[in-house]
Amino acid sequence: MNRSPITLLVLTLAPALLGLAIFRAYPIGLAFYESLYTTVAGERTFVGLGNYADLITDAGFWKSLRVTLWFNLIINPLQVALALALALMFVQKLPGMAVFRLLFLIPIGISLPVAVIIWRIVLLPEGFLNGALGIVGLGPYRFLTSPDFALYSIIGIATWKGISYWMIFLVGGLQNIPQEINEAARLEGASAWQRLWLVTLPLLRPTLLFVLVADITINFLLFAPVFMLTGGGPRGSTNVLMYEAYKSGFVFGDMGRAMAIVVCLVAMLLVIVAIQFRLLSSAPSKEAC
Amino acid sequence: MSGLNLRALRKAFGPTEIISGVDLEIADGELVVFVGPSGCGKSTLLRLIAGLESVSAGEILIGGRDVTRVDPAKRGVAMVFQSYALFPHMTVRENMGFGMRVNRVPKVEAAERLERAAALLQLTELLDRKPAQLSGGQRQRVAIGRAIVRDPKVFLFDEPLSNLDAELRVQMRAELSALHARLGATMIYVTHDQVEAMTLADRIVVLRAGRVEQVGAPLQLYDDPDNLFVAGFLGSPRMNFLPAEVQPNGHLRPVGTEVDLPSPIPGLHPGGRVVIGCRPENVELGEGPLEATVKTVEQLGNSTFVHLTSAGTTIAAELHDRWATKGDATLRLTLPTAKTQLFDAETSLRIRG
Amino acid sequence: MSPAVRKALIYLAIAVTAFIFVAPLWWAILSSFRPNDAIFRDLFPFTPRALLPEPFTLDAYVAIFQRGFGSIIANTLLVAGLTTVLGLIVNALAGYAFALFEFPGKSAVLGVVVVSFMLPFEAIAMPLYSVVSQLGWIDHVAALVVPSVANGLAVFLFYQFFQQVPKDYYEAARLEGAGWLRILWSVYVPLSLPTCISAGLMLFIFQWEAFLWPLLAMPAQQFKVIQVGMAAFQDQYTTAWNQLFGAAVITALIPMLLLIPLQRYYVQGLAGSGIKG
Repeated sequence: MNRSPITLLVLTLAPALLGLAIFRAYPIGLAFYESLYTTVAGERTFVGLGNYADLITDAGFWKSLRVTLWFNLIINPLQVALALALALMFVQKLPGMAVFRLLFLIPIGISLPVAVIIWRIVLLPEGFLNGALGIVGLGPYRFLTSPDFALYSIIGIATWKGISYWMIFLVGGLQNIPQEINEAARLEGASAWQRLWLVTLPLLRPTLLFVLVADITINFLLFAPVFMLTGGGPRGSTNVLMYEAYKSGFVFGDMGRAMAIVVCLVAMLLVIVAIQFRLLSSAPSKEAC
Repeated sequence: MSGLNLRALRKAFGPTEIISGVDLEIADGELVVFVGPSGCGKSTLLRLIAGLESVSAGEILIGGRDVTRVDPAKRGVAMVFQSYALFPHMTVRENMGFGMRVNRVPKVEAAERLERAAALLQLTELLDRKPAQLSGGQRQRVAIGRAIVRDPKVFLFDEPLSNLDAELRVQMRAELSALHARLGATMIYVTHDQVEAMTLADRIVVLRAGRVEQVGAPLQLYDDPDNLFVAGFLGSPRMNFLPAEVQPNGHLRPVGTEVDLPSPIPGLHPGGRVVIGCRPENVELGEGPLEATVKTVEQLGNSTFVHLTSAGTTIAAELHDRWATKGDATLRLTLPTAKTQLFDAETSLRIRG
Repeated sequence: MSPAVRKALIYLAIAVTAFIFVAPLWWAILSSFRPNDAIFRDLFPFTPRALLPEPFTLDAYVAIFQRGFGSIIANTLLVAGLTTVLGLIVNALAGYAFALFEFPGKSAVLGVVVVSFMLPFEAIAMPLYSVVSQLGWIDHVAALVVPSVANGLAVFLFYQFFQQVPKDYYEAARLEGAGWLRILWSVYVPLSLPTCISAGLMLFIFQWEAFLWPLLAMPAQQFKVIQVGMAAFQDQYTTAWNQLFGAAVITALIPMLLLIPLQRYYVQGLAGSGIKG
């Protein structure tokens, strides 16, 4: 076969690149384009930046934004910290660890909707958790139906499902640190705590940052638990922006507003990620020697 | 007093025993080299002394104090790892100062110790660089500096030169030797390279399969090996070994020949099986009782190695002249009786008269 | 703190964590084998019988399949299977091209490909709806499969892998006169089996766990994939607890059956990309 490299280059790259272009890149542009229109009573009209102006004056939008930001402020550091703790446990060399390691990986095989369904029943006033709390005389609590608890319950469920996944990346990062470095620190007299703070964590910084960025990206756009459990309530306490956008576009038929919210979400996300990358570029060299 | 004592040391990982009973006494200020083939347990022995592995049985004493169960940081040892194990995210200054920082040494004293060590190793200009910006030799010096700053009773070196290229290795060997003379500290050095062992050591400990084969000064081990293994390990090319049988008249007949060689040791039991050992530099070519065929000639400029087949085995000879004859030439050779050694074929032990 | 005490505490922490991960799943599994009115028995007050599937019955599972869950599973297997097969081909080809060829703008394009997988599907799900709607694929299987085939992470995994294969193999084969297709097929594909497993697992599980996109793209209720089907199930039969658990267990079981023997490949795929990414 003597095809010129260009032909075969195009043949091999085209399907994937086309797919990414049409189904990943193009929709982003389309989102912005759609956000310049509004649909009222089936009529689609051009409104320029009108949707965005409306959002600025919409109290519902601001409430949803607050919920989203508060949600992310809590869930992201929480998940990264817990994933780190999990990773540190995962790499321990104690007898019987093989079984525990397998158990740590279980939530990865469970999809978020499945986790939501299971936890929904577990969190019922008559469910497993309240039963267990009853042993020590606590509860029963209305985890998902009380405006005080609902958002935190969702944080709990998403964390339960998510941290095993991030743990894997952190374990990879930990294993990248040569054992001799730990031994050298031990010989110098550093306690386990000092070794963690002064040696392990600084060397883990790039991986931690990566996990944080990836996690924020996912949590910013979290949808399933809200859709399945609370519908944004009770009293809007779980109405994250993603759900607000969904309602606009697929319940009330106003795609324009939905797209405007999506554009805002992605813009905010890009800003946050850009800040993270600025921090990442000042990370120390990872070269071990 | 910073001597070291190992008593009946054993170490097993699960069912596999790596160290099978080691007794050793190291004097204060000695540079002792642990040498042996890979898997002989020399690195494990070093790590046991450092406290990075726990002992299965036996005792370790440093400066007369039993440290067998003591935390590595409190034994008074410092270690230079094979990979140097420098902290990549810290500067040279921070690397060297890490131990003092962690142990809360007062700043003034810490700075002093650091400056002294840096000056000793010519690191003063590199103090604010990170390991990634240093060359291999510089990194090694930082690793040594980190050890010196701890002011340890015993320095432990785990194959420190194996990551350097040949030329740098020669240079660093000389520097390490000078450092030892300067500091006068007890040093234990692990290597698989017998040249390093011969050049650096006050005494060499030859290890095989977790046991000590022989301990002694380099030339002593070279000239007076206790067994076949030590004789064959030190010296390159390896000592020539000829299996032979003791004849009724006390002479030795190399297996596969009809030639009788006089024995350096009288009174051997006839019929006994021995191994004749003769170092390449002692083999004499040109005349003699044995017939040999030249296989290859290696000319190195200052010396020549001739590899011959004789008495059914390969014999290496080292000459200090150029060699004119090509391969396949036949000639005669002698193993001068005064310069050969005898080993018992069964026990591998040296037969001394 | 003595080493023994420290060890014990670490063990305790590990055991508690493992328990937190396992307990809800365990309760879900055993409850799926109970009659519906017995689900919350034994909880107030809490007795050890709460931890056993007692009284034991298969009613829940029978009911689930009677309600058509079987076809939902089949639908999802079809979608996930198609995506995996097509995805392996498309993404491996692209990874091969990136690894073996040089062309102007290559690093830029590669960079964009890699960045694309940092963007979660949710961000573009709604505008994607418009795109797919324009293509007329709404309520067709194509809507679920085609957009998911091109996957930046899979391309990256294959690119990384093919890069590591020594060019000697390629050159030796070229010297023997083999064309690029034959080289790909007889040399690279057999070598790339571990990467195929990693990437394939990723694609399969991605499709199996997809929720938002199938929800939007298949509004007509006939063809459901499993996550959406399960959510609808929950909506419809809110208090059929044991059936909900049964559905959840089945939905979780299939990826677990794949992950448990193949976890090494999944972990390697993630960890490797994370470090370099």
